[in-house]
Amino acid sequence: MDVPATCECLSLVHEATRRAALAEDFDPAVADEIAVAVSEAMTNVVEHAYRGEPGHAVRLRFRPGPEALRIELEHRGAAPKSLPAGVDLGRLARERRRGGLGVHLMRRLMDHVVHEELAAGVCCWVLERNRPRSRPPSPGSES
Amino acid sequence: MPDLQVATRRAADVAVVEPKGFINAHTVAEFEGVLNELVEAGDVRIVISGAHLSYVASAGFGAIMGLIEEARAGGGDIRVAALTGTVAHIFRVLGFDRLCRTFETEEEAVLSFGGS
Repeated sequence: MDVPATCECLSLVHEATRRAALAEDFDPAVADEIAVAVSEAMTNVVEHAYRGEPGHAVRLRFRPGPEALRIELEHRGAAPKSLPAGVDLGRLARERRRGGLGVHLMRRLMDHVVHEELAAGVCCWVLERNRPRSRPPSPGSES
Repeated sequence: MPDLQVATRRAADVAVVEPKGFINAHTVAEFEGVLNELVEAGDVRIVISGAHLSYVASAGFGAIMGLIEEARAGGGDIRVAALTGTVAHIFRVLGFDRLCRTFETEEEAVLSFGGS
């Protein structure tokens, strides 16, 4: 599906992703996590790749596989120079920063997160969440 | 129904902020605006009651992160209560439980300021 690259469409992307994950038999709580992660990728495209400019679109694809649900967000905006390796929340708070959490959150919620350049001027966020039997336990899921 | 409604009320000398709906990059301005107004007014003992949040994206956590040291510098804090489901899980996986004190109930969070 093609979606206008605007913050107004974030809830549409969130709900479409949640429904796609539920249709693939993911647990509702996991479907919510996948939806948040994909919304983060969409936010990154809107705010950084297109820098909030109107008139752009994102192509959203859901590709269910035997081991994982793969979600792709293809866009024609700017590619990030690099993805942050991690975050220091204490430092960000001391610096009164409000941003810098999106990629970190995507990585914590998904099993595989990359940003690829498919061709000249065409980029894609790729996020995968393994199906339950193939996902290793995460540090935040023991409680 | 709007995507986000943010109510503010008082419990003793603590401001209780109660967002209802979801917080993402589209709705965060309203949530952040309420927090900003409180902190700028020196009303820095703040409890965010998350009982009616369906989800919070990084923009919402970023709003707290950007103001929590300001509140602490003013002698207060931003504390969080009554998180449930996905919101509570994301709070933990982001590591916010190490940045921000959390409580099971709004009452506990409000009372915690009594001894601080």
